[in-house]
Amino acid sequence: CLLLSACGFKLRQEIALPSSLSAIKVSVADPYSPLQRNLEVALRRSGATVAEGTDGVAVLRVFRNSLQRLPLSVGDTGRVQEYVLRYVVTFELVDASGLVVVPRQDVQLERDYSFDTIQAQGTPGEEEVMRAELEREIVQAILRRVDAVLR
Amino acid sequence: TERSEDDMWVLCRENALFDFYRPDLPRDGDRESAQTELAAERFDVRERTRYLLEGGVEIRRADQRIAADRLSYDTQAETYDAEGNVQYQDRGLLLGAERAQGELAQDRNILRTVDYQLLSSRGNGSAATALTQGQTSDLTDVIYTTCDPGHHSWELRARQVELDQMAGVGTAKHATLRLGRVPILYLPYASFPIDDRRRSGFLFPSVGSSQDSGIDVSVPYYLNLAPNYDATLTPRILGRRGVMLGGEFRYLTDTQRGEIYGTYLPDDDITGEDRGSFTLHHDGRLGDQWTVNANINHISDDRYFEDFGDSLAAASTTLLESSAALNGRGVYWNASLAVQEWDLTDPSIPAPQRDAAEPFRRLPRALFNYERPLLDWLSVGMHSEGVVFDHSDKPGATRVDVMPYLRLPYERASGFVRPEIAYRYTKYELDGDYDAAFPTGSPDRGVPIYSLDAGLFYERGTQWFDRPMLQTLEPRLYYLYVPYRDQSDLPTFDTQELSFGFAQLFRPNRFTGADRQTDANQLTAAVTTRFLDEATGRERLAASLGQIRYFEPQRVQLPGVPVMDRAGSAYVADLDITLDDRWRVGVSQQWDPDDELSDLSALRAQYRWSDAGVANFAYRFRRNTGGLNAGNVSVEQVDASVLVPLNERWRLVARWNYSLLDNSTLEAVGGVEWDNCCLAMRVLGRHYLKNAEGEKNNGIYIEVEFKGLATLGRKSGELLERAILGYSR
Repeated sequence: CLLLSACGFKLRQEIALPSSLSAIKVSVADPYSPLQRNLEVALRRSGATVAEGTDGVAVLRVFRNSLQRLPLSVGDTGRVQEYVLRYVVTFELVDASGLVVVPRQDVQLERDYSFDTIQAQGTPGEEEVMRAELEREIVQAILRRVDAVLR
Repeated sequence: TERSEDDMWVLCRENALFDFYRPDLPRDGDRESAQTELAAERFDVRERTRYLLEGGVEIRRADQRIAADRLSYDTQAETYDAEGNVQYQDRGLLLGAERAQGELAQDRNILRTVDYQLLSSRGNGSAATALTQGQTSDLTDVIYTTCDPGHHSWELRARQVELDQMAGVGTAKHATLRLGRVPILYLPYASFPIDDRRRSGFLFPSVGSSQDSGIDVSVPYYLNLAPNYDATLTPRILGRRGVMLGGEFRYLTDTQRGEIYGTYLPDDDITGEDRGSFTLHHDGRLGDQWTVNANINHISDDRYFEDFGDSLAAASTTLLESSAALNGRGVYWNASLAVQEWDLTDPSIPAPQRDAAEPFRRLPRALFNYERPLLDWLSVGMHSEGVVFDHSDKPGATRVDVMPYLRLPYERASGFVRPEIAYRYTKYELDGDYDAAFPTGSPDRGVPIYSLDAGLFYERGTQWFDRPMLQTLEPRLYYLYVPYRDQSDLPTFDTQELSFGFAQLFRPNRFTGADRQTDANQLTAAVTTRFLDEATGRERLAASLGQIRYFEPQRVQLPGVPVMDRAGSAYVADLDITLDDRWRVGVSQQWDPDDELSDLSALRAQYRWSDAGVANFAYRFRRNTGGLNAGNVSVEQVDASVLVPLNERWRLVARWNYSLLDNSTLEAVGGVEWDNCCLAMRVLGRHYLKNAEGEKNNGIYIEVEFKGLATLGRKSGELLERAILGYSR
């Protein structure tokens, strides 16, 4: 279809959070991790209140928060040629009454980069750039799923 | 995969306890103060000091129960003598015997021709005699196993065994370990756990052999030092090299945690050198805002991983980082102060060249980032970094890089517009001995960076495989303008071109590090569509396509790289599909319209079935785009792996990683795993790249797990976990 509206696409509308989700506690095993903070900031931005305690509030629970670097390809001299950064977060969202809103699921993001032993001086910096991007994007990916369920 | 207690015994028969087991007996209570109850069908009390009991005889006291067909009881000495179908049960033990004698006051019982079972673990077997006193039992001529009674896949036969239920340990003297009926190991002394507490002891040994090192046997010993720290010592015998000692120490407190790992092999018989490695990881918290971490890695020589690593991934490591950092984080800021250094450990590069290629040490590096929203639509911020670069082979420098910026974000559910103005200023103080290429001792560069990022979010409800889906369509434009500044008078310390990919379409720089800031007058157009399951939020499909259009040549380059003048970047397309919980497919493609060639093609597919079955297939092709090797194909390979559970006992595993570019197998692994109630075996063959010269090596690895015999708390199958994606879920 040529025109977006002709295919049924509409611009996304603002949604109001239901009251059972108006206060959300973010629960990551390491509460000082960037993920905890980034999720809290993003939830506030989307209109939720971030709760401290878990009583009578919705809980966004993160079971796994793992960002790993793994060799992606190795050349015939046995040297790594590409690395992949794999970020996996397992989460669920339960509302204030204990009802599962978003069931437990994995979100996985990957970024790969080339590696050359004799031109490696920028590699630590490249990995740093990608880690920072993944940390931002995983938050968007989690909120996108919550948003899809609420619509 | 740390096996849980329940998983470990899934293949055992359910409740295979002796049929006289009484679940209703108390598990505690003080025997001394408890009443002794006698019961029988017939009592003969004609003798005053000696009762004879017959038929369904039973003595009960606290947690103890003794039953027999016939029993005589001496009322003065409080001793008994029982015969016929003797049954004994206490809080931890179940014994069946031909005859039992005992002194109730002393809580001593001697049983003969015994079958026994432990109640707090699966241990069971038989003995010639069993002497129980309080919480300890001494057995002679013993058979011990954790298998189902009557189905012993393995057993420990010992002259003498002591079972100490308070400590939860069994100790055997003059023991022979048998696999089936075949004796495989004689142990003058052995201890084993008889409940599921964590404790010190030997872990499962692993046995292997490779062409290079010869036989390879590791026997780890676990030291349960305290609830929050422990250690594992691993002597490893490498037939042609000598004995390597490995040690691991882990600790955990409320605010600190870490592990230290080291190996040492004095005087390697092959190389004549001392070999070893050292690793330290530490994470600590100092209050709410500050953390520290340290990460130290050292190896004795650059062939260490090739000779002692147990996977291609380990052997192919060539850049080792060591760092220590203090990190802070507040609402509007984050900061860090770190020292970092890198070791290049690639033996295929001659030492002088390798030293020169090593990344610069950062002694130290300070980072400070600040961003504060002033209004809904306005925020200010600053990135800043100061580094002292140091190198063993090259002159260093001090560099300061600051970038204040102003953002005017307009964000709604329907879309966003984010204009940003930044100014990046970088200044160097070069060390004295720079050559003529850098006449100024303190060069600097200042450049404004303008960008505009804008996107819309469309959506519609749709169906996919009969499930209601939310489909999104997300067009996005990114305009970047950075005027040209001559940067050829700036040396490069930590800068190189970033790998191209979808993320690069929206970055304000083509380079990592501050030594180069790209000039740009370019526009990115991209579109993403997603299918999200309305019920669960799961993303079933995500597809993206994008390209950068360049309006001016890119003149800022790394030394030796020519100016790039082209109308557009490669087209980047990414596709990820998660059909259901079984299928996952991902495709990445970069296609260069100028030379009409692919820069990157990647396909990954995963299929899962039943509970544990998984098959992976991946194809990768990459052609270098930037830098000095532009145009060369650097990667073309396939990687396939599979884990096939044939039934609940047998599993097949295999992996094949093949380079199409070199027509060469990089790593091939094949093996079987077999499990029954009390025994697990794993046999693996491996053919793999041995070293930087491309030589191949073959190895075989065997692991036998006598379940419940070695101490718990250790992973098995690490090699497979690295080789096969999804080996453990």
